[in-house]
Amino acid sequence: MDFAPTPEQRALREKVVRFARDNLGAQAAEHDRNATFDESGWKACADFGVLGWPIKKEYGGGGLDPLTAIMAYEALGEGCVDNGLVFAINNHLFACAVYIADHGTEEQRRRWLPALCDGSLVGAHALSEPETGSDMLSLTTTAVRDGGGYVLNGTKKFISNGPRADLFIVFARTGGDDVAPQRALSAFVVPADTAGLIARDIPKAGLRGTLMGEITFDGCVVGEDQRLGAEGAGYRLFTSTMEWERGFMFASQVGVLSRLTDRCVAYATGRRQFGRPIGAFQSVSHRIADMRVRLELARLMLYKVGWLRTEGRLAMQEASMLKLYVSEGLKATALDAMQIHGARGYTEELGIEREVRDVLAGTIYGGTSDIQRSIIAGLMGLPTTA
Amino acid sequence: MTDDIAKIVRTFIGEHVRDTELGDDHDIFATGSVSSLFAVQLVMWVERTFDIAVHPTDLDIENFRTVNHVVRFVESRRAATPA
Repeated sequence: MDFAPTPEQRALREKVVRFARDNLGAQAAEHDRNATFDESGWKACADFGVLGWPIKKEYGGGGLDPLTAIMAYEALGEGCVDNGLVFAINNHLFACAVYIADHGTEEQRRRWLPALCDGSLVGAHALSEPETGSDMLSLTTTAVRDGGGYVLNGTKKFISNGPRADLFIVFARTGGDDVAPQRALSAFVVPADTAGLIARDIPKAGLRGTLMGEITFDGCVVGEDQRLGAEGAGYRLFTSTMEWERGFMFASQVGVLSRLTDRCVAYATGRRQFGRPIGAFQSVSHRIADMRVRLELARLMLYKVGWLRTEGRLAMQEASMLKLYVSEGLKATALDAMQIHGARGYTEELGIEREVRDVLAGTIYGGTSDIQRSIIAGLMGLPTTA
Repeated sequence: MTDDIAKIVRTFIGEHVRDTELGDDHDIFATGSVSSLFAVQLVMWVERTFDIAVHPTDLDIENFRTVNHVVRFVESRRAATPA
């Protein structure tokens, strides 16, 4: 067992943090206030290779192994204060591009991945519906066979990147009541300019630099060559790929944990009250010590998921534990950071209040904390209802 | 060896399916006998119990839908693993 990153991984991490600090996030407050997508930041990330790190080089990506990629995205989260931009990248990659990389045909990979890696296409993942969130086997959007293709009908909701996306991974029901639920769903690659596809913006509390929306499919005709994997394989695709979303998407959140902890150390060292730095008071220093413990545990869990994926192993339970721990831990750290920064933390002055709003969604998207606990419990052999 | 594996697999699946009758060719996913999470639970149990590496691409219900399918999967993995 070796806990030390390689020299190459350390160098990459430093390079990414420096890139993010120097090139991203300068307009984070404006993008948050106006709920706008940072197009120039997106372009800068594309040029730096961020949008393709885990994708094979032959498809336009960086070809990083999963563990190294996870470290790079952690560094991105640490260096970039525009959490909305980073979340948009996470969704683009881990909820869209990796589906095509893992399950696409050679033709589909060559058709879509280079444009996703160079940033000319923005990807999204259309699974949740108005009445179906965590219970994916109950989704109602249909894909009905019609000639050589399918016709999609239904509505997806809370789709990150939705109003800005150029390409969607869409899950729809292809099987009837006579088919086992696990074999009734299929996945499709659907461009946003498909006739009958309508996107509507949904305003939200945080991560406002990532646009979120409702996507309606009204008689959208898609070809059989747009189906991802076999007909009826949607649940398997989702299950085997969800580890990317629950594991890798939270790499950047570990970076945010690190950034917030560092900010609190700096503030508690410099800010003086009653003739001493506030960090000399145990009520402050113990909070920061707890932040550091959370960061350490989160990082260990993160790297284990990266290692398992690098080894080609399953990380379902580990990814759920990571997602649960990091999202809840980050919420605690962000709230403590606001408390330590006092009134300045509550106002817009330091951006701490934005960090707090941004971290709240982490316990909801990608499966709520309660769903993660149910998955973990179920994988321990406890009875499940889903 | 196959009988031993089948016995272990039959016992585990039998503890989780809602059907009263579990034959070795009974498709547990076709009849809604188990929860949606059980497929992954079964994969993890196979990995742990038989000390074989299961990969994300193995998460195909075809590999795990009956006792006999699981037995064949375990045997194929063991055969592919150098001693």
